[in-house]
Amino acid sequence: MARKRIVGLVLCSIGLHGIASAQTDPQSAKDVIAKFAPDLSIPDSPAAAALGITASQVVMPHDPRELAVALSNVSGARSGQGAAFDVSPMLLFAGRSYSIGEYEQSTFLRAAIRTTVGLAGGKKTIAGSDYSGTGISLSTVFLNAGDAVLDQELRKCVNDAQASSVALTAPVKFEKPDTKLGTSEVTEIPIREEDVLNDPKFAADVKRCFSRADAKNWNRSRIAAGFWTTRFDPVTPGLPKATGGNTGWLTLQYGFDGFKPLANKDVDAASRSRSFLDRLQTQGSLVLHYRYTHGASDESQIPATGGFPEVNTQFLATRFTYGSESRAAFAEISRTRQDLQGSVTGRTGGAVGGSFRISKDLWFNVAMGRREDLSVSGTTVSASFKYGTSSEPLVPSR
Amino acid sequence: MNLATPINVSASATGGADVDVKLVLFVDEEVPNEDCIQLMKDLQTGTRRCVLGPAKKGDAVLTILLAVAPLVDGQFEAEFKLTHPDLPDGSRTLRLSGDVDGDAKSIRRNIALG
Repeated sequence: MARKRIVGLVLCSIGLHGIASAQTDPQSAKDVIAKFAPDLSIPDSPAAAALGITASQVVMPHDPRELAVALSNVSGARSGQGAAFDVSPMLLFAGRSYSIGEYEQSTFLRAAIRTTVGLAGGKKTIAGSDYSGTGISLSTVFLNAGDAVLDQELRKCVNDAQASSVALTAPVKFEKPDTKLGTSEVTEIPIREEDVLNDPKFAADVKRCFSRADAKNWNRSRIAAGFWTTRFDPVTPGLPKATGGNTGWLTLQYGFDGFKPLANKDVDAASRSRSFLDRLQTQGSLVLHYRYTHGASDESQIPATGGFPEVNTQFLATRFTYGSESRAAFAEISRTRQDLQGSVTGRTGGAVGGSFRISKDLWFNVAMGRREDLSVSGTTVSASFKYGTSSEPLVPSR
Repeated sequence: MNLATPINVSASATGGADVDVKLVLFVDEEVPNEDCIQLMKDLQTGTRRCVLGPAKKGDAVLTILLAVAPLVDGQFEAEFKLTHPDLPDGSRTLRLSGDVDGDAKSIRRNIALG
């Protein structure tokens, strides 16, 4: 089979073994990721978080989408509007160049496919003046316990359903042939409607396989990390430029694996359960997020002359999420430690919010947050619509 | 067709669906022996091979039963290369293609081999 293959740095790193396996493994990594990825929700873009145009402060790991866009509006104490654009370059440009075998074998390839590049732009008020900001981010998910591509139970489930289907149609009764072997080397046989057998059990079995995998793999333990850099230009000429500095971040997400009350539910067991929460098939996750920012403008200080003084900040937050793949609520608390030329100050913050899936690819996220700040203190509310695209996953949404 | 020599089959599949297949070789409207029924799993993860027969001389009809589970988009193409000395040039290829968009489906085609 002719296969498109982009020869690049990443391909070289996969090695000859991966290339050999791809030749007998026609289904691409992109196909399988799209089909299996249960968590196609769109958390706040890291680039948007960099600009501060989100009320929520924790950057969440998520399964890759080829493309996601978000429009945010933040009102209240820290107002601003912005748009963020995230893309997974490997999925978008080279996703069909890699087979599922390569994806399974290479940790490096998995991380590369889960890497997203983000660009955000927006307006923000700094020291009482309007600024336009630009943020660029690079982030990746190094480890994903919920990577359903690697879910052997799901594969076995689909295989068992298929085996059961073909077994039940035997012994086969003779039927008059409907096609004759052609004289040419290849006989093309398009499948017609009348070739389809009535087998509702097979369809139901396969659907159940995906429902179970979907519930099992959503919101599982993950490790993500990234980097972003931002700058702010004053809308009114003459005011000093500001920068959000350079930030490195790490997010650890624990999906309560092994902790029954909050861990993922078995769909079949949940449907039989008397518990309301079990039947909702909800589960929780606990996230720890750390980031270090170097050389950011101290927005609390209105500079008399020259630019803003620069500060280094450390940010530590924890977030609890509870819900399902179509609706979830979260609460987070954070602590920021700011170092301004040896003068160290600290402040706390918090946010609550929720995400709702409106349709397959459209999400509405709302969050309300409050941060104690030196100059800007009070409640901030952000609302955002997020649209993401990916090859269509045939995971039924609940 | 003299099926004292068995038919060798190699099969593979591509597309956005998971394909398993059962092949049944009828000779003169009957399945001569157990070797004439073969199950091939996971065609989309690599090439699968099997042997149909051996059987007696007679009119051969190959029944292909596909169990297709749509994964990405339900489109599939399953290719079967049959190798036997009675076939012209020793081999022929059957290429079944379709789209089972929506639910998983079982499909059947009966092909006269001669």
